[in-house]
Amino acid sequence: MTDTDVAIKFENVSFAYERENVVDNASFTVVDRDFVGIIGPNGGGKSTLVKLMLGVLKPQKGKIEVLGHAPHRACSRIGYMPQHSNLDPEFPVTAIDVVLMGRLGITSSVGPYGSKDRNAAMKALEEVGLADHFNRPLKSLSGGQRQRVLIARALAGEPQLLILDEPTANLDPAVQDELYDQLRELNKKITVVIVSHDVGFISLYFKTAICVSRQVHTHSTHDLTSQQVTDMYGREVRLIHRDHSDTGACCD
Amino acid sequence: MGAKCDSFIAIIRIRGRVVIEFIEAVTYNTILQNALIVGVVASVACGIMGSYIVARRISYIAGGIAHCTLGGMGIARYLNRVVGWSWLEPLHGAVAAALLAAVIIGYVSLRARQREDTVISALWASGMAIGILFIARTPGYGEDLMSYLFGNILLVSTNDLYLVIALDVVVLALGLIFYNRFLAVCYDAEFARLRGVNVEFYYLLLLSLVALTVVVLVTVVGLVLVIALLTLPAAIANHFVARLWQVMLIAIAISMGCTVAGLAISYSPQLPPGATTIAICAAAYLLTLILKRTFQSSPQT
Repeated sequence: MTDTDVAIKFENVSFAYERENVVDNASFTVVDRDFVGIIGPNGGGKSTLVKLMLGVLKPQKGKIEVLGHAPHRACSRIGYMPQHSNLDPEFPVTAIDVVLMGRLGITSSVGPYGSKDRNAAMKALEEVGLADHFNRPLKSLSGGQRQRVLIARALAGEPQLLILDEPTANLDPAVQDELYDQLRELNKKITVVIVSHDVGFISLYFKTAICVSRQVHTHSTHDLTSQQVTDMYGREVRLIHRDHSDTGACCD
Repeated sequence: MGAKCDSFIAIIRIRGRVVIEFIEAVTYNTILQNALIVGVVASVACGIMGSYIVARRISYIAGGIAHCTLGGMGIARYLNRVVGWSWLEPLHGAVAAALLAAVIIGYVSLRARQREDTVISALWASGMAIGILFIARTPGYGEDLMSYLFGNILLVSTNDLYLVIALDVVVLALGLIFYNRFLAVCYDAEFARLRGVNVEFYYLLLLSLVALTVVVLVTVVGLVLVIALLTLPAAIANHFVARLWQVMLIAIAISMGCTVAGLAISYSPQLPPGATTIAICAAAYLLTLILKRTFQSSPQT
């Protein structure tokens, strides 16, 4: 495996907000064009792990490389979608306004966006199936559409790595499926990392699961057993695999 | 019915006469001309920064900055009259105090969010207290205090006019040049930071521009009424358009309309122009809400 095939590399990374380690001696690699689910119980350190990848937090111990660089230097090549619940739904912006924000760091730092920015933003909206809605006020869009606008914003910077924090929270199952299909299509070109609470369905969509509860383990979703997930969550969890067959003998 | 009609026509006649008197007066009265220029120029900064304030929901911060200007004006007036620094105008003190308040509030809101409201309240009140103390120690008329609090656009000197125009140009230029950055920082600061935008710098710059705008508007409506003129036009505009720059354009137009109408209507009956402007603004906002409600409910019925 050469270094260009590695999207994310953690080496013995530990991080603590105060005294206790939230991430404890984590070592793993995510290969290029992987489709990764970060799963784990609430408070287990999923968001912390993402913030470490983005360079928002610095580890006390260990080394992190993203796309071959320190995280804060890789930032402009990462597309990131935060949980959209933090954003003001009444803010006076249209879909294209929001998507254009994904061009910051690439476009010039003063003056208006150029035609190159607008083209990239439109292409990103096409990729999430919202090209027709580009001029709609954000507040007039449904929750699922708004979520896809934020994904388009993450895509507008033409990233090599896409990190999405809970993209399916508050979405109907039908919309979720559609979203995952679109992400799988994107995954043909770029690495996709998703923080998800839908533990049951991880193996349906993801190639690799990063299980986080202080300790960090990676598994191919083919090999992941219900027992491992159950151990992590401290309760029984049903796993559904890609072929829709139940794997967990312990579940029933 | 006939009597009602007659009185209505009479009111329109009186209003018409008021406006005609005003237009006649503008042609020869330089005080009124200065006032008109200040009102129109101030509306530009007001519409731009007011739109950011309403979108980012930081009118409380703008209020804190506005009230701190009294401290600056009080100190500057004291230095001018008592110490004899004749070059120092109260408006210079207002600029310094507003910028200082903006930087302190901005720094606190970036570093210690949970203490933000306490710090703003403390600055709000202590800025006023300092201003009143210095004004009390300065010989002169208490009318100055009233014009700081509630504005007197008819007392704007030619020097003030130049300062207002200069501040306005700064706000307009920076507001346009950094529009995209400000928009991104206001909408989603976390994301902007990840895109390599220096969020702290742009947030402090934005608050500094708010501070300059507040000073400009203090000359028009006074520091107590500033918040209304900053927020109401943008709040009205938000009901009609969906993009921030469109909100800005409409807010500028509404703000110009309100200040000019405030001057025109207050002129012959000798009403306070600042208060008249705000009353018109508030009425326009109320009317918008009523119209909006009527139009929104009508398709269902």
